[in-house]
Amino acid sequence: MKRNEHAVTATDKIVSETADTVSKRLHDRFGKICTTTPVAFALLIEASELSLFTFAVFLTIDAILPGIISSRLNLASLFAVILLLIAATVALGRHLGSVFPFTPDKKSPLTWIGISWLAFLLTLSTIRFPYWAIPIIIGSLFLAAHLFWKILFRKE
Amino acid sequence: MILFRPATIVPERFRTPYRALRVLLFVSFLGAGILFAYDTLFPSQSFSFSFINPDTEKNTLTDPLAPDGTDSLRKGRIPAEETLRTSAGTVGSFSSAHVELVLRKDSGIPKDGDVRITLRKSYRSFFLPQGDPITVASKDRGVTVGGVPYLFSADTLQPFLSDRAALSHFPKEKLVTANKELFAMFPPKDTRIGFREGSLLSDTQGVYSIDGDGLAHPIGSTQIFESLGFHWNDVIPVNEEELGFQKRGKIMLFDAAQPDGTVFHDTVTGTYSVVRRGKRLPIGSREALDALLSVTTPIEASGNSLSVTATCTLKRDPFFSFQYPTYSCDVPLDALKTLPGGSFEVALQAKEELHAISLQTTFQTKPDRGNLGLFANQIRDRFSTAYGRKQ
Repeated sequence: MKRNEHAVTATDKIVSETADTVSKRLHDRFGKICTTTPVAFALLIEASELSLFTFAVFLTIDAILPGIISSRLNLASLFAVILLLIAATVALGRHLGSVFPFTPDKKSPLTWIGISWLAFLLTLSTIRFPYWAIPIIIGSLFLAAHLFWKILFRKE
Repeated sequence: MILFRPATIVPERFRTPYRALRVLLFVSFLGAGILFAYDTLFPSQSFSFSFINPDTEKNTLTDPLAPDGTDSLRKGRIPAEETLRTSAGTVGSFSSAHVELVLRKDSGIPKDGDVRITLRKSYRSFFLPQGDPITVASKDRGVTVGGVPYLFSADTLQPFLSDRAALSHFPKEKLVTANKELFAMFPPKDTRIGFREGSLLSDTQGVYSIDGDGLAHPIGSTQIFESLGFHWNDVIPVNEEELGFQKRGKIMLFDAAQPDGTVFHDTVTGTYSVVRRGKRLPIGSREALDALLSVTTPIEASGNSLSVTATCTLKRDPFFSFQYPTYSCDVPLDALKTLPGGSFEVALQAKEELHAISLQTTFQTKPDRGNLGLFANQIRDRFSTAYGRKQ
């Protein structure tokens, strides 16, 4: 319990410091030139987060009851829109000199919520497969995920 | 994550407009979510036909036909007292329909109540005009010579494409075994016979419906398959060669008509009919009926679908008539709700000649407890399909 509290406090501090630094840098660089850009950037971040959260909710509902969302809404198109939104956010962030490096924290509750969610989706998606095929599917998925991880983060 | 933590990256003096925009963003997401949930719980489906662009793929109402079955009305000129018929393939249960007709400026301007809209509900092919009844069973026979199935018809022998193709025409017990001396009397033709019209074939890609011209039409989805009234136990798994024998036709969607060879069972009168060359022929011969029922399962339709209608008369809509004269009306669909089939036939009849630009029909679900219960039942069915025991 104490460890978790300590972890949360540390994360809060980092977030707060990052935000302050970014705020100061943005204000120094763009405060007089294009003052509305940081507002757009902040809103874009929030829109991306809200979109990702909505997408996760839709994906979960559709995994539980196949077709209930996907028969009304093309989830692939929605995902493409979210990717564009994230790309726009990252581009604007770079333009403003603000980056949020992806550093997964094993102690963060968010990481464990994400892992549990993926495990839940994986369990649901393998329900009607023959028993012998399930380890193959899960193994292939982890292999693909590992390769993507290596490609994306250039880790040996 | 800054979702629940106002961003300090925003300069102090812009915090107030930022907070307002932030609230607007949250409200937009919440509003879109509520609208989506509402549309999921109480869905509506819209169909339209543009008489200016009758060939466009965007037309979701089927080609408007005159009573004689010709598509002479697709340009939008509807003679006085003539009936225009079109149809919409829906999925779900709807409470009402909103019909809107937009006229050209050179069109006759009807008085309120002069244009009558009539809706019927069933399977699309069940609305086909009735043809002459079948009173005699076919004399065609299936024979097997040396393990190969043949069709014996009008003193000629023709080999079937495969055993499965033969079994789509005749049940196994009706295939008579003959010896090769039959070939001396009736030399077999080279051309092979494929699957019976109305057959449903499947491969790893999907399910196909065979029409009267031997074309295999892919069926768009399982929902479409079920909405068209087909039965899963009629589906014949085939190999690549068998499917390749049938040329590929257009994809079947919710508005598709059941193909030739489809048998309907009228649950009201207990009679059967079969679709053939644009007509629905009542089956008067017990032998002919037995032969058909031995190779296919009939679609259960209600004879009441032909007589029970929902109607309304169009009234000028002053709000939308600034550019073109626009008429609309709402039809309650309670009378049609229990009738089987998802195809609505929309008929329009006017007292004077009209020149139309477009016709639109929107099917709506009333937000009430009954429809909410219906949605809960659909969820339960879906859940049991996904996680229930395999049958």
